[in-house]
Amino acid sequence: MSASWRSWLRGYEALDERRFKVPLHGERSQVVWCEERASEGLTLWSIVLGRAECEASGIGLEDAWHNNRLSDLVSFKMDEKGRLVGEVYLPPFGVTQQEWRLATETLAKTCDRLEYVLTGSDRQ
Amino acid sequence: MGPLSPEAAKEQLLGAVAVHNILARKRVAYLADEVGMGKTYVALGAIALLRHFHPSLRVLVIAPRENIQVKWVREIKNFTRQIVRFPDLRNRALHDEPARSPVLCSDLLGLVHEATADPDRDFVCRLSSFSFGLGEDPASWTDKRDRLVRMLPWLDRGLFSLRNKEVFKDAFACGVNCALPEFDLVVIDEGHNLKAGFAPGVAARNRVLGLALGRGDAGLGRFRGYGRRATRLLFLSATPIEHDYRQLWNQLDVVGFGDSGPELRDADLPDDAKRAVAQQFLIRRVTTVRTGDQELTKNLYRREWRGGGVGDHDEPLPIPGWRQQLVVALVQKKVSEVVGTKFNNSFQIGMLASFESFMETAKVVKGGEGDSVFDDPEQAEEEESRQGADVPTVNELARAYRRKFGHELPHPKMDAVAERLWRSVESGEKALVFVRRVASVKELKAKLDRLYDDWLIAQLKARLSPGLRTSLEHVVARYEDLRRRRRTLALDGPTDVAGAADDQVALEPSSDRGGRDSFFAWFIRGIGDDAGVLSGGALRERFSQPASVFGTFLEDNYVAALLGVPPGEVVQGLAGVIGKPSAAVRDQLDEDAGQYVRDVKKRRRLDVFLAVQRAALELLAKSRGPLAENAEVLLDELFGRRPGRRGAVRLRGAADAVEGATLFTLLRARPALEQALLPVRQGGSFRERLKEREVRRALMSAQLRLGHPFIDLYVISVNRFGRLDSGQRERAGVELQIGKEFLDELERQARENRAWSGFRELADAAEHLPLILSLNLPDVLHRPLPMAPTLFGRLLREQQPIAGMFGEVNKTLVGQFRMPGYPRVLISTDLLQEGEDLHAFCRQVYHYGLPWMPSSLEQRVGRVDRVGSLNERRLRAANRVPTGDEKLQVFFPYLRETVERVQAYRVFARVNRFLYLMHESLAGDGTATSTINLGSEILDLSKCPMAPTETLRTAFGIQPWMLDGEERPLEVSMGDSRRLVARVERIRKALEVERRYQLAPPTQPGVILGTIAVGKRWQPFTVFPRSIDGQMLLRCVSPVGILESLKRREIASEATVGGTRLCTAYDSRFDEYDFTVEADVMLVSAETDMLRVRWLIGKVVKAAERLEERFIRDDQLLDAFREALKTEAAVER
Repeated sequence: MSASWRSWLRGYEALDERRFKVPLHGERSQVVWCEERASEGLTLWSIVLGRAECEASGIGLEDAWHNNRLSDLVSFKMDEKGRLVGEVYLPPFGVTQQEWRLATETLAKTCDRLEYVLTGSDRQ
Repeated sequence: MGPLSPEAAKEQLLGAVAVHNILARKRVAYLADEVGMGKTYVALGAIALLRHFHPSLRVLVIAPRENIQVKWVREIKNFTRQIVRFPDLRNRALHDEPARSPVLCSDLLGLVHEATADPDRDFVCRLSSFSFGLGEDPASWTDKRDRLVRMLPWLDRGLFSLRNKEVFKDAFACGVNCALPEFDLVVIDEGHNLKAGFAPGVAARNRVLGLALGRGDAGLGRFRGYGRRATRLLFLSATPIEHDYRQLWNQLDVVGFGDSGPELRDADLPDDAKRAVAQQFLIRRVTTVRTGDQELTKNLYRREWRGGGVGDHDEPLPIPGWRQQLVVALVQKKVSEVVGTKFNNSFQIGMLASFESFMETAKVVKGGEGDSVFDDPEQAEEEESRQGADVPTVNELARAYRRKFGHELPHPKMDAVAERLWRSVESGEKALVFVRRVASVKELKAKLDRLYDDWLIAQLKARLSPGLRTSLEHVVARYEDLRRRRRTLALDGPTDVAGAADDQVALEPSSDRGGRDSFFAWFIRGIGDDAGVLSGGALRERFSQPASVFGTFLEDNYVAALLGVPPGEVVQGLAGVIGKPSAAVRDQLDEDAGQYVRDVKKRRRLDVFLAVQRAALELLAKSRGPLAENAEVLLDELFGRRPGRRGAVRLRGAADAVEGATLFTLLRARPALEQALLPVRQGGSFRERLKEREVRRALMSAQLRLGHPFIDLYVISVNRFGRLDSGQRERAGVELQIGKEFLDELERQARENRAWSGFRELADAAEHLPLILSLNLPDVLHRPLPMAPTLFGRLLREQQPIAGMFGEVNKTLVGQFRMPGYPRVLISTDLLQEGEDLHAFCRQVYHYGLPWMPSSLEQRVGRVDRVGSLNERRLRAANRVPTGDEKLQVFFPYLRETVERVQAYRVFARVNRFLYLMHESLAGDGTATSTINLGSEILDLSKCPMAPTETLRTAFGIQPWMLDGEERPLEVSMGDSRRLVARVERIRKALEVERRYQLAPPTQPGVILGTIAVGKRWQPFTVFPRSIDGQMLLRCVSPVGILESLKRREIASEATVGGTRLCTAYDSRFDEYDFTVEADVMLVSAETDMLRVRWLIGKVVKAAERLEERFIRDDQLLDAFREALKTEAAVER
């Protein structure tokens, strides 16, 4: 499977082995990471805000929890580096291209929207 | 909106297709079907078509006000369940909820909050939110600004100037725009409210709305991201214009769509040319009712009383006696002087208060946006007119008259209307009365309450046993005394208009202590003065006391019904089915019933009755006999299959209670009456039949306890007791005698075919149950059966024979008016003019206070002239050209000798002009102004403009191109949907057989509720379907519980692993977080379904259990979370 998701990148810009850029509405885009974790399947993740931005704007855990309550597919958390990130977990059984692309698009759109709401801009 | 005829359903479908195609080609559509044809459903149909092929379609609905906003959310759910034929995962999710959650936004900041939290939902907000009231204190402005900036932290506070209210509002609207996502479709309900356009000087509301949706370039450059937020636009209104097609352009222009029909604003273009432009995006169908071989349009099936009278059609209102004639003449003289001197002989139509009442007027405060004697003062431009130009003069006259003569100024119009309304109450007709003046609500209601009191007291005197009449006379005397004292207080003190809700307090029925507005409210519904008298309220309390002999009166003996035997033969019947001797069955029931009674020592009648019912059903369920399956269903639906108490003691003699008779077992023995009041559903499964019967029984019980039929029950009860004092307890068995006599009385009323009776009320409710449910409690059949009595109890609580409303919508009264029974008359200001469906049991509208806009008149009549209305049902049933009395009655009471005639004629002329603009081949007439020059027009004795008598033909029919389009196969077919349902069912069945799962009985398709063993502990969870862009997800939610704020950091470090998400709802009152763990998985192929579901449930419950163990420690089982988990699958989160 690890090889297969790299063949599903059509329309996205591959940045390295794990990263690619998803173009969105207008000029906006979002960088997404894809990682395979042995028994847990694939994890797609994307950064909404860096640590400094989180600290400056007071964005924290509660915001992530509240967003999670409303979110479909995407989970928000503060990662170990203090960043606000969104994640999607795909199961270790029979992930299809359609499923992977839907998950990727949803993650990119959701994180980009939250980034816009919190910063008004599109930082990479 | 209730069951539809096939023709109406087809019209709605064609409308939906046309709107879909117009939107696709023109980006803007205007649905202007006549009032009551179901525009909401047509709009929802168009949205459903769009969304089926574009599942990510984002919709914003703007309703005019809160009650209609709530209605939209309700209708979205109804439409999803009833109209979308199968779960396509785009419109309808697998568990029959909307695939996209509708979100109700209470104000602009709420809209911003919701849109920033999750933009992929359907937002329903209200136009009044865009009025964006600001006080004079800039501190409140900064508070609003800061709340907005908290949600969009990058907005520059400097952009919000605090120097000028209008500039601040503009900036705020631009800020809101920045937060909103782009909507694929914006629906503006009752779009005519925007007819004044975006021009300077019009309502700030229109400007705020326009800017919030990105009209023009006001925010460009200063507000990053400012831009157009509406890709397509759908307006809904039965009255899109008043007198000029320009008003149509104004509406488009508010939201930046003026380029869709620029010709409409060209003053030099003739009406025909503008009409041709509008025909490109506006459609309007006219209501017709087919009777025999004739199609009747609304002008033919309505009877308008334009002559002013209410007694004989087209005759004027009489002014009886010289005293009233003198009073009217005096008031007219004074009013003419006021209008002449202060207003230069002209006045705004509708803003003279004396047309409605001569009673003293007080102001009503509305939403902090100024005060007025009218509920909708927007139409007047001058402050003095807004307060009612003639109010000070009439107040002075009223005071002087009262001082001199000791009573109120007579008002011939009010007296005549009150008398007419009472006649219609007695003939079984409901009536909807619109007034313009707030004080008229109270005044008219008081007059009708008095008439009702006279009737009720006379009824009681005639029907109570002779020995009880003296006691009754004492009660009546005390009531009259109370009324006199209240009246004196009201006359001496200020009129408490804003406090009219004192009879409208929302309480549970059991805590209803009655009201003071009528003898019914005080003594039958209430407890009178509680002087040891057995009032209606005191008797009703006994029905809700589990230990009372009436405690089981409104229950049913399910075991007897299941066995098909009468009470008295139940044990014998049980013995036969389970193959044991009767004595052994009795013994077993005594033994088993104990575990279902919480306090065996108290042995309360109701507790014992229910416990033994349950024990007997358990016996039948275990018997494996022919009734076992149905007994299982009864246990499941009625008792939820919760386990009994272990080690419970024996309930000696409980078996006697299984033979218990109730009102409903007595009714079962009278098949004709039962068929009229509790008709048996034909077809369907046993579970479906049971649910419907129980819902019917709950409704009937609520009517018996809380409505008009309770008067019969009360009279029979106290006659049977032979006393009117409340001290004594009744002996067992008396309730059955009362039950028999009560059913005798209902049979008598049925035979006499009285138009207004307890039987009529019960039978009408039984006959029209689907309509009543769809209007008032659309969810009731989907909710646990034991909730039904509470839901109907709430709906029918605190009934008033005559009801009044102003200030804000009283939802209880509205719900009750949509049912048979009380209130028989509903008097309202313009408050109820739009949005509420009041057509189910009413076909009379009184324009007691005349508005000046044809749209207002049409909207008001539209409350009762709707698809499936009482009027339509009667016309269809008669199937012939109706006589005048058989038509829908529209009254315009006015005194021909007064200034009001001038106003009425002007309004009728404007109505005719509106009809001309919207229909083919009608003569045009009328003027546009809303002011009247009294000096010249009072002398104009030209004839009253009458309604057209030819069949109306719309000028805006659906054109062939609007129905043309490419035929496309569905993205998800019914077969696909069935396969998905079967897949989820297979998942459920597979989990059911695994020992570590314990699943609750299914309540909704696709929803799994249960517990799973995690080590030695049990963890509750639910799994339910969601969809994203048309792809099905399964979501698993497992509760952790409530944790105080202090532990949040600790919990965060625990929960960031395991591929789940930690979710919370924060309760600021207790500084607590209610935590759940959740995760989603897509279902992509049947082969991997089980692997994926186990993976999903496994990781969620593991994470939740670990948190619960660490932070809560108690192992909380399913019952602790059952109700909360059930709501997880519902749409609003």
